[in-house]
Amino acid sequence: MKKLIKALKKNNPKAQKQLFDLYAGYLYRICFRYMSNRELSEEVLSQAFLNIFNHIAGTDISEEKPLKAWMKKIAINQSLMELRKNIRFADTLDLIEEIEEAPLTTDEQLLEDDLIQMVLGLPDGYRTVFSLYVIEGFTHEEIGKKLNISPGTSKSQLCKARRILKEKIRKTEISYEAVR
Amino acid sequence: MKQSVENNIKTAFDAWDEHSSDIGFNKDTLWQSIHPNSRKSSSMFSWTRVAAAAIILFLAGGWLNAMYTNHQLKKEKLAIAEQLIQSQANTIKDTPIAELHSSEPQIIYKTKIKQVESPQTQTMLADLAKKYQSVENTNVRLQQQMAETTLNNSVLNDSIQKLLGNLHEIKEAYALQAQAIQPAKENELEIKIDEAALLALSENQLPKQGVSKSTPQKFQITLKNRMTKSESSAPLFKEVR
Repeated sequence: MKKLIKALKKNNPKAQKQLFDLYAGYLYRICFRYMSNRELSEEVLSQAFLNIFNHIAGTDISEEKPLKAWMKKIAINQSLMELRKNIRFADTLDLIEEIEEAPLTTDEQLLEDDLIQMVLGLPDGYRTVFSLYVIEGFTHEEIGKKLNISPGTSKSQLCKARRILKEKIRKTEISYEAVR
Repeated sequence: MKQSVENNIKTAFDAWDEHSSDIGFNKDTLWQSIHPNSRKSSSMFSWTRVAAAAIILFLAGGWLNAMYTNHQLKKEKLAIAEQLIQSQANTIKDTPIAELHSSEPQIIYKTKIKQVESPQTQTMLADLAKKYQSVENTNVRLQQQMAETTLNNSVLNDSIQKLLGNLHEIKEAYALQAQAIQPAKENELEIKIDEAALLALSENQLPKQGVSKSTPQKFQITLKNRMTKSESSAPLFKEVR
């Protein structure tokens, strides 16, 4: 991996292809999580890889883990940049009082695929904030900076996302019970 | 017992991110969109290499073929030369010398006048044409002179023939005359001279007393013809003085 990173820093095309083959799937899934659209995800991924190739020489990365984290960060930022062009986050300050800070809970052991599909099925704004908050672990302030929205809007989006997911989980639980 | 769904979602997405299975996007197409030049350049490079190798192989093949052909042609040439020498030797052995000379190939030289753009050459050609013209004129004059000379020669020959004919006739006439004259020499002319009288005449003296009076003629010429005979005699002093 060290040789690969060294070659990448020298803009070696073979190394770039090797890196693409290794991490294209991983980064595509991250992009798809945010974009929820194959074509857009591919566009974002290609831009992300171009950024990776263009900026890797300026980093001091020499190990696989930091490289992976750095590439993930680039893929997420690229996705958010694309989202900012198209999504208008509705400011829902009036709902701040009703925001449920408590995480989602359920009595059922839901399947991973169901959970993933539930999240991917969320509207763009809700899904983005939910992903950033729950999966990536950003705070509302960080999310606000990244999306050029206020922390309150981020909280509102998260709240709405949770409500929708809660409803989806309830429906899924009902279907599980029906199967039993 | 309530479970945190959000933790499950995070775990599920982490596991999903690390999933090795393909999720349906075309990696090659995406790679081409990222690196449009890489494939082209590599393919171009490879095509260039293939083309260069093909050209080199082609040229090397052509060169080797040319070398081989050249070698074969040299061999054939040597064989043909040997055969030719052998056949010529055989022909010389079998053929008489006269036939050999007659069977020599006739070499025909043809002069082709090629026009050249160079002004120097054109000038030279013009000079040569003038010289050629003058030579032609000289040739015509010489031919005319030759014809005249031939004519004169013929006239001279005719004259010589005539002269020879005349000579022959004259010789014949002379021979006839000579035949006619020859008997007269012997018989037809007779001269009798009185020597004493001639001596006295040369000394301007009178005849001596001892001279016979019975022979008063001192100079006598007798001409005898076949037909006639004439004789004349006269006294020496009287007739001569």
